Formats: sequence, C-alpha cells, structure tokens
Amino acid sequence: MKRRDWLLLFAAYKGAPDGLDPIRFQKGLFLFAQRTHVPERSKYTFKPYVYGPMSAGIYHDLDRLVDEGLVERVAVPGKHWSRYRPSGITFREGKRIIKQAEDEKLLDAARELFQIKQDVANVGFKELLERVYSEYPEFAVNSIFRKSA
Amino acid sequence: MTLIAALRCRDGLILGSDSQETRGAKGHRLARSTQKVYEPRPGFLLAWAGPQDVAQAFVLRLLRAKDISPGADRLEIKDRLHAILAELREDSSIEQRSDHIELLLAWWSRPEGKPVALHLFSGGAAEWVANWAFGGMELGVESATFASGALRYIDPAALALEQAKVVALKVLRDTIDTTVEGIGGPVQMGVVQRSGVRLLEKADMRGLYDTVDLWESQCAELLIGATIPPPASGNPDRGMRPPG
Repeated sequence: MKRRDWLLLFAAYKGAPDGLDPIRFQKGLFLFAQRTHVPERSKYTFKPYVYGPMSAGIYHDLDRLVDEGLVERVAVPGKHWSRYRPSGITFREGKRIIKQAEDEKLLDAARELFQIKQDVANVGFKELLERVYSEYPEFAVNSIFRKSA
Repeated sequence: MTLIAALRCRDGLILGSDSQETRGAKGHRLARSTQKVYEPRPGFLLAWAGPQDVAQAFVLRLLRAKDISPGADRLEIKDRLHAILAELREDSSIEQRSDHIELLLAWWSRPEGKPVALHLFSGGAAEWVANWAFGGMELGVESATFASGALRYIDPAALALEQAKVVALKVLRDTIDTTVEGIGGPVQMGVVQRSGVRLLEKADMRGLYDTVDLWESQCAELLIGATIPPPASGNPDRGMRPPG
C-alpha cells in the first residue's frame, strides 16, 4: 500500500463529519507512522517543525487528493486553513483500500489508524500537541509552543 | 500599492510583504501577483513599496554597485544606498522616478555581529529598524501598526527567529484580511540570520500559515465553549469503520 492510501483511509474513517484540519492530519499520520509496523515506504517522513512533527508530503498529497476529487476542501470561517472532508468517492476508495489492507495482512494497522483518528479528532489542539510532545519529545525540539511541565 | 514590514528579533530579522500589485484608478483596479521581497545581491534582503519600475531600477543599480557587502560598515552602506536613490531621482529615463517609493533593506552586519535593517524613503530620509517597521499604503501601515500593537504583550527582542516568523505572519495577514483595497494575496517573507539571508518558499509559508492558525485555535480553546471538537458537529457522520 502507498502512504497516500493511508492518508485517504484516515479521511474516510468516522470521527469528523465536517472534515479535519491539516494539523490533525499531520499528527494522525505521524502517530500512525510511529505506532504501526507497516513497511517504511508506506509511511510519511516527519521532521521536527515549529508545531512538532510535520511532513511536507502530507500537504502535497492532500492537495493531490483534492485535485483528483477524492476528498473535498472546505473553507473554515475565520481560519486560513481548510478542512479536508470525505465524499462518496472517498468512501468507495476507502473500501478498496481496506480490501487491499486485508490482502496485504495489514488490517491491524487499518484498525490502529481508525483508533488514532478517534483520538486526534476528539481532543483540542493544546491537548493534542501535549500528547504528541510528551510521547515523542524528539519531535518537539523545534516547537515554538510552550510545553506543560 | 503595497504593505512591507520588518521585524527584528533576538537572533535575526524578517522582511515581509503582501504579494499583490494593483494598477488603475480606484474602482477600476487590476490586481496581479508580484514578488516584493527578494535578495538583490548576496547577503541582502529587500522589500519594496511603490512603482515597480523604480524598484527594479534601484535593484539593478544595487546589483552593479561595487564594495557593498555585509562586511562593510553600516553607515557606509547607508551612504551608498542614498547615492543610488539620488541617481534614480535624476534619471529621466525612469518615468515614475518622482513618485514615492519605500524600501526596506536588511542584512547581517558582520562588523556588529547582528542583523540590521534600513527603512529608506525616496525623498532621502532613512530610519534604522529597532523592532517593527512598516511601509507602503497609508491605510495598510495604519492597520499593521494597530495589528502589531494588539500583540504588544509580546516583546520582539525576546523572540527566537522561528517564533518571530509566526508573529510577523500574523500581523501581515491580519492586516491584509482587514484592509479593504490595495493590498492582498499571500504573504511573502525572507529572513536574515548569522548564516545569511533566505527567502521562504511556498511550502515554508504553508507550514507557517498553519502554525498561526494553530496558535489562534489554542487561544480560542482557552475560552470555554469557544471551540467545538470535530466529532461534535451536528452533521451526520457517514464515515467508515474498519472491519472487525
């Protein structure tokens, strides 16, 4: 499976009917890369950025998914970022990806990704950053946001 | 019309601008994207506001000038820049030479071991940048001054460069968002630090935009009930579940 398949599956899962912001995509796919044993080529590469782990590849692939009509970009009032929301095509692709995960014996990773989405969608940004920073402090070294003691 | 800005922080300096160039009379203006922050010669960053042909003529002369380097005394550099501006005013081949132009020029002063920035006006005046400086369209400068004033609880001199980039972006984009006409488009930024000068690429800017949104979102979270987590939406959730 390609890394963008996991990105698309993350978008397709339950947990955020209005879509998710780019920060939650970044943190979700980061946790997935850290916690699961999928092949390295199926994971995004992250660097410690000013808001913690960041992968430029996720930004790039989200743009591609929007261009290809596989997810919808929805403007958020008062924000410069958009949310990325699943559509009917996202769910159809999601089913194909689940089937592929089954064929490649990666269903445990697919279940873990679902759990990660529930976790990152259900918390505020401050708590989300705190969790990631405390679990992976090496990715918080360039953060400009204060960490709780 | 343009908005340009400089911000000095603990370990560097940032130049920024909007990216929209407008032409024509009020109500009939055409806008297009243009580069307003760039590296006119090694070790220097420039942001311009005013007629583009005058800015280009300034850059060409700066590029050709000898013995202007970040290793020179800053007062000597200032004199050389003034001389270039004086030449421009006398050059009859530049149609808009008499129009008002403002320039922000920044570099890492090697003799002083710190970043410096000069705010130059076409009339001949010049000011060294202490913390914030704004130039360009009057209404934009007023809005930017207000936006930076709203962050007066943050001391720029205490900020690291990475933090200052976020603060500078917030002020510039808040100004662009609230100023009706004349300035607009994505923010452009470049930085001066000990290692040299660098223009921020689109990918860098995207990450910074998200960082400012994240900062604002965390501020909103401090107020009870000001934010709603994604699953709490009133819309039906048609999302998938994994098997088993």
